[in-house]
Amino acid sequence: MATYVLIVDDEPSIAMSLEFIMEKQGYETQVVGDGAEALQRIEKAPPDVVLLDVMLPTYDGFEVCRRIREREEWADLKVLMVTAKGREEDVKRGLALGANGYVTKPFAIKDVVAKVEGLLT
Amino acid sequence: MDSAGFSSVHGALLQALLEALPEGALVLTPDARVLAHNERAHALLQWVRPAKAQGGAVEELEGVAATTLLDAHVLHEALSEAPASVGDEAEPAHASLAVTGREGRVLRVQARHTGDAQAPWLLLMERSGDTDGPRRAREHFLRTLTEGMRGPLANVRAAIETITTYPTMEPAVEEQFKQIILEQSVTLSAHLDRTLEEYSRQLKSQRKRDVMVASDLLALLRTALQHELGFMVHTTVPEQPVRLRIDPYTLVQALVHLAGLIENAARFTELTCALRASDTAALLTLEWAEGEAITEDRLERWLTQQLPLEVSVVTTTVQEVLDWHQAAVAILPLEGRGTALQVQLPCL
Repeated sequence: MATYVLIVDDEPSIAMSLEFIMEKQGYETQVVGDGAEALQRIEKAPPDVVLLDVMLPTYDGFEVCRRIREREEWADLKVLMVTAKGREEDVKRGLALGANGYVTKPFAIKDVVAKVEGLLT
Repeated sequence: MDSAGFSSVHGALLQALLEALPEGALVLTPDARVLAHNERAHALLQWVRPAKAQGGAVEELEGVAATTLLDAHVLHEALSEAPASVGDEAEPAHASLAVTGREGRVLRVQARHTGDAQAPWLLLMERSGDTDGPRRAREHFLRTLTEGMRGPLANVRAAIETITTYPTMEPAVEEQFKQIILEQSVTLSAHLDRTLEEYSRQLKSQRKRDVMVASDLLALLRTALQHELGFMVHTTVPEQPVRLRIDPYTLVQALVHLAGLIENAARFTELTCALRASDTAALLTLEWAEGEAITEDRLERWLTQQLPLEVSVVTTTVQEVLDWHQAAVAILPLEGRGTALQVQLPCL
């Protein structure tokens, strides 16, 4: 079964690039632009990896991450935060809430690909 | 450094409070001697007691007359202009002035009356051009600029890298990525313009003019002209102290910029800066004996050119700086002695 990556970003431009890149790596993808909608999608079909922006409508990325980590059945789900918030305290907060990794915008494509591959091995 | 004259508890508390201040701080006795100070004041003043200094070593400030550290005339005026106001509902009295410290540094000094009989004065000192307001505005500007750039820049970078990493993508998809690059570049430009405009507005709203003696301004101007433009500058000052209300940091940069443009056109090698005073105005003249004449038209064009201010990304013009100081400039022929740029500044 193909690896499934959920891209959660309300910025269509970056979401389009991430979707294209992930598909080129052979992953199945879904894109959502809202924190609450992301949780609904995960509920229906848990992905292997969530690429999670921080600044989102409804629930922000930190809240989405916190809710994911509350659910034992989603313990294996990998969360990579992809955000414009590059400050150290934001990185620490994301990791403390259970994110598996952090990429700061603007990022290099090969770094995102490498981080996703790293989470899956 | 102790806080003599207070109980040990009060002295320690005072010292802790002084050290917490972002400005250099001096607490003065009624006869204007230093009772306590913080490390920042020491660093700003770079005080060396002339008779005792060994190899330029910095000494303690306690007991030193404040008028030795800062310009005596201006300081006396500041202290007398801000009478005691203890018990008043109003904001405590204070006076603001600009003085030249050691090594030609311009300091903005606020003299505040504390109402305490033993320590009636608190002097807060900052380097002109590096005061708290502009510093906060600069931090806000940098934060807004970087945070607002990350998103669009990420979109541009991701789109470019995607196109170059996967060059065989369908033309329609490639066109979509190119459109992203175009749109996000426009967003970036707009963000840069908007943020700069906001920063400029903030800085201009925070500009302050302080009282400064004209001879200090002249000394600053001479140092800056010699340093920036590399020619000899002679100065003449009036015997009577003339007081101006200026932002020396900005005004000197504007005048040096203007002098540079004139020097480039007139090709002189020596300049005389003279200051004369009437009841209401100070006349600052920059005089040169050689070189071609400068027309009023040419001067007008120079005044409206953008002035690159040091440590600022905000642009202004010499004319804006002069207007803010209610100053007027003119080119005057000096019979048999060359030409002069005359700057008229209102004096106090």
